[in-house]
Amino acid sequence: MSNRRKDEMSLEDFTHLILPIKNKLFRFSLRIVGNVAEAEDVVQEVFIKVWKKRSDLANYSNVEAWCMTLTKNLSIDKLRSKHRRADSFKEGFDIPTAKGENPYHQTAYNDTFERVQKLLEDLPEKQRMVMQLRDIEGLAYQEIADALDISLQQVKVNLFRARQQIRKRLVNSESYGL
Amino acid sequence: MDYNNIRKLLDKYWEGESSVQEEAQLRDFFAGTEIPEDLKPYRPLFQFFKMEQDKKLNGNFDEKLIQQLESSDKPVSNVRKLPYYLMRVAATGLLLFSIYFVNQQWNQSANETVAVEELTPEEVYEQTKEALLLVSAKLNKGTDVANDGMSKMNKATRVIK
Repeated sequence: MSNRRKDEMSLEDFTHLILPIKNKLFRFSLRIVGNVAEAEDVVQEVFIKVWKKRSDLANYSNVEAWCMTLTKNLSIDKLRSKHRRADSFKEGFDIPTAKGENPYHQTAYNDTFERVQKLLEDLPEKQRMVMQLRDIEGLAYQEIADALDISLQQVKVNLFRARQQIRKRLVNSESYGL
Repeated sequence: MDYNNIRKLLDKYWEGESSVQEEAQLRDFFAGTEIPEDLKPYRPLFQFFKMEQDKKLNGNFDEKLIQQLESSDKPVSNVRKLPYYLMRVAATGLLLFSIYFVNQQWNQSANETVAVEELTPEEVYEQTKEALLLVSAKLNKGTDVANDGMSKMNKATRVIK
């Protein structure tokens, strides 16, 4: 106990080692809560929790996976306590509209964006989270398993189902002009 | 460009057999402009992934967070829990009251100084003597009352005996 303080993480260590994963956590939370401000709150809460437990950090083999798990749990708590996913979800994805230079571009951009967004949205929660962590964050299967606290096999199955579903709907929407 | 390689990668992707690097390769390919007709339906998905990777927290996030972390280490006093605007109101009130009070005191003492200065030394002497005599007379009166009380007490004691 007494030598704990010596190994304890400084604020400088924290900003170098843990803070850089903030955007990863933010996007993961955003995928679940669907609202920028709430996702930001979640990330902040996660970091405060980690900071308060910094003397135990050595006990966690994978701090990033632990942060991911905290993010997932806090985001789901937040979502369930508010029950307003359907309304708030669009709001969080409005940001990129600023990128479009002309109205035509902007509309095309948003259509594409919203269409894929909707496809992901329709996936079961677990499939959506696995897909987010793999296809957007580029995590290894084992890292996803650690973050979501599921087996490696479950990661593979969920990812496979998510991709099959998305593929089917992409091809369908294309042929029906949806 | 060899699209067959991309088609092979895509097949691996749908089966969940592609590596992280191969998936990055697909995203890069679909970010380009030359996409053969049969692969076009998949473009939005990979473009979406790439756009999502650019989503970031606000620039002031770090600053706010570090402040929170630093303050989470210190015990929070009652004063710190007060809303900031309330503290401002209180500080302004205190300042205004202090100015008013100091001003009053200053005016008062200034008036007194002037009053003393208008008297000659003789007059001051007379006034002081008068004041002291008055105090002395009051003191004597007090002693008389006390003596009177004492004699009454003595009388009462004698009666009881």
